[in-house]
Amino acid sequence: MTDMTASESTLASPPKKRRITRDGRLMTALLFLPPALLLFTLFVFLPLIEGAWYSGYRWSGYGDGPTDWVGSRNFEIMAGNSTFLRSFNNTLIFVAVAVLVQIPIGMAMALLIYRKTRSNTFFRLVFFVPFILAEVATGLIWSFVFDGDYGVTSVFSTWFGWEKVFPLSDRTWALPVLLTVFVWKYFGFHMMIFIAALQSISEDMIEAARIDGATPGQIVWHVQIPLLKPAIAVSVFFAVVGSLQLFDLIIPLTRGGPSNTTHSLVSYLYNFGLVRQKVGFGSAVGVVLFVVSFVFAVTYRSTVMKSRVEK
Amino acid sequence: MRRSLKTLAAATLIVPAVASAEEVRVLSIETNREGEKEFIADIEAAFEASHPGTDVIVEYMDDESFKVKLPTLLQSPNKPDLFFSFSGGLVAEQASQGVLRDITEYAESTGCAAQHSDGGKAAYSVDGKLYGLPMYASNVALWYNKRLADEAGIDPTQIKTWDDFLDQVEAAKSAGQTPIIIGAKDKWPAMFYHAMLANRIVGTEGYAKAAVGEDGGYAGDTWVETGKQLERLGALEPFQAGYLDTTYDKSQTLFGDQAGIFMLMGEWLVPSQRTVATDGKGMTNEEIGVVPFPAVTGGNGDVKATFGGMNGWLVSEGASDTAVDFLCYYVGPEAQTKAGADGFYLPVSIGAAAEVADTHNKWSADRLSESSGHTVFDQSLVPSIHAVQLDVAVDLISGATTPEDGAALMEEERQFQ
Repeated sequence: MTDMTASESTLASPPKKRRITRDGRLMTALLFLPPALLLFTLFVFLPLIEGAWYSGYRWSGYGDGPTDWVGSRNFEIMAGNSTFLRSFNNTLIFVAVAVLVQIPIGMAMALLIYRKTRSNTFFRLVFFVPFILAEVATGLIWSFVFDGDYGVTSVFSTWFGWEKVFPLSDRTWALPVLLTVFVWKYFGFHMMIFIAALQSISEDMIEAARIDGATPGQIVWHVQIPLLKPAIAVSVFFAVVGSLQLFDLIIPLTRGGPSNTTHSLVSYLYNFGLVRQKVGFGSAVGVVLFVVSFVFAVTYRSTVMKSRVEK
Repeated sequence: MRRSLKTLAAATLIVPAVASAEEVRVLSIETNREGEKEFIADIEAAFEASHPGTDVIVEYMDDESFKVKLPTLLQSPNKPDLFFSFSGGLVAEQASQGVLRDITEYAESTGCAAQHSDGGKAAYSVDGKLYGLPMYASNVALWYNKRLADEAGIDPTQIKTWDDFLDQVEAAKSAGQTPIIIGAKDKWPAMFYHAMLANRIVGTEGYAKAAVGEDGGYAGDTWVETGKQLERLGALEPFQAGYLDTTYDKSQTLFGDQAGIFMLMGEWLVPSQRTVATDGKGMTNEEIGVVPFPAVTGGNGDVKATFGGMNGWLVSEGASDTAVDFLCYYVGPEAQTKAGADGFYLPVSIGAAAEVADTHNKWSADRLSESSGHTVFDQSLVPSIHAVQLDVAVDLISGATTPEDGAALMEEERQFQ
């Protein structure tokens, strides 16, 4: 009986192996997988392994490779280094600001200008331009804006007879200024995600809510925002990952100063690892950054993103 | 047919000649000294003319990129044959990692080594092996704007001690002037104060002892005292507004724009401020005065000890003899006499300073010639301790750390070595 069932099954559909060969999936895998695997191995996996290996050494980066094994010393120094802790804290602030300020601003703007009108198209372009600008250019532009001697602020202070201001030179104000530029630079990206999502919401639903007597605020709160949840999930993911990688805005704007108060984890890695020729220490910082990013990505995908897919 | 054969024969001769053209790749930091790039191009052309089949390629990179990219570049197939060096502690690190070529024998056999003083060669030698050659020295001193000093009622030529300097800074501030211009965003201009104070307070012997952890290492009394003196300066708030966000480049412009009185810098400041001043002119040599960094009462250092650069070139491992020949020619007396006469810098090959005409370069040359010991920027500090010194110096002048904590940070880094 069992044999009979098996043969019937064989008759009903070809063996799995033959099926894969026949429908071309094997050929596709053979053609497309090796280049991707090779690139992933060369540019992601191997550097990761190499970085983890270097993190146990004291090495200047010169020569064929590290030789001076120091075990967990690099991690111990990092844990006791106030600048590292501040940089870690700053990175958390970047994440919080991205999620709690950047995304809400992006969403608010999207709700205002998502409808297809000529003026909305103009504003969309205006708000999206900062995102298109290269990070380094953005940093340089804003450092010029805040230059109290020769920049835009100096023009205003001269006009109005105010005292010169140098917010980037102030340990209290440098980080808020950096955060402002950070929000300005990226809110347009989130705005575009929300505009795309808002335009896909059926007008019938909004019309139905309106007929039921919902106010514009209620429509936003009870109809549009709930339907934006998949877009919010994607937006938060990009905001967090982008904040963890923040680097090229900081270097031209503050270089992590004054007194190393505005470093992110990546600019800390660059300054205290590469610039100071402490490749082992920099690699240890890289390992911490990788672990933080990996844990977030896996947790987020297996919880928030998964629940979205299941729904 | 015969014509075709001739063409083929000629092509056979030409092709190997072209293919065998030997490249000498030189990696330099950017220069903003007017006319220096043209001068280097002339040197290249002259060398190529006297060495047919040689192609010298000079590439320029800004300081920061240069420092970050060099370790990787030296391991790549496209590594430069010669690269710029500030000398200092990094040369020993590079030599120990095998990325430099030992040119001792070759430079001696060609007579190239004899064109340089022992002091200059020492900056490019490790354990008696020569890895490169010096090109120019520099001397860090207190430059000042004569007009603004007059207006503030101070006379910087009377500065003999650190206290004198602080008194004049205070007087200038009371007179409504900005006493000091500094580019603290780049950190190293602030480090100059810390290093020069250490030069005067810690002294050569103290530097050597700290390096091996004696007398408390970098957390010893003299290093803490160095921090205290720098803290005293910072407490006077003598710097221009926004100094923590001022790059070195901008500080040159501010000095050229006459926005403040003093600037602690090497003699390269004088021509550079003219290039970057807003009016395109800056100040003339006559409008700028200079005094040596003052003595610190009770300090162990000698007031005649100088601090500055011994910049030059290193030869990378595997570089050809032709590359070394080019280096010898470039930093040799013939080319460097012209560089000195053109006022680019203070050349150090023997006899090359004879035609230095620039008054301020001459002043620096005199200080160097009577120096009781020249500390090359970070020579007595390994690169990672030097990096901590950069942070500590900025934090001390801005009141973000204490002398004790700053010294302890440097010592902590030493202990990690």
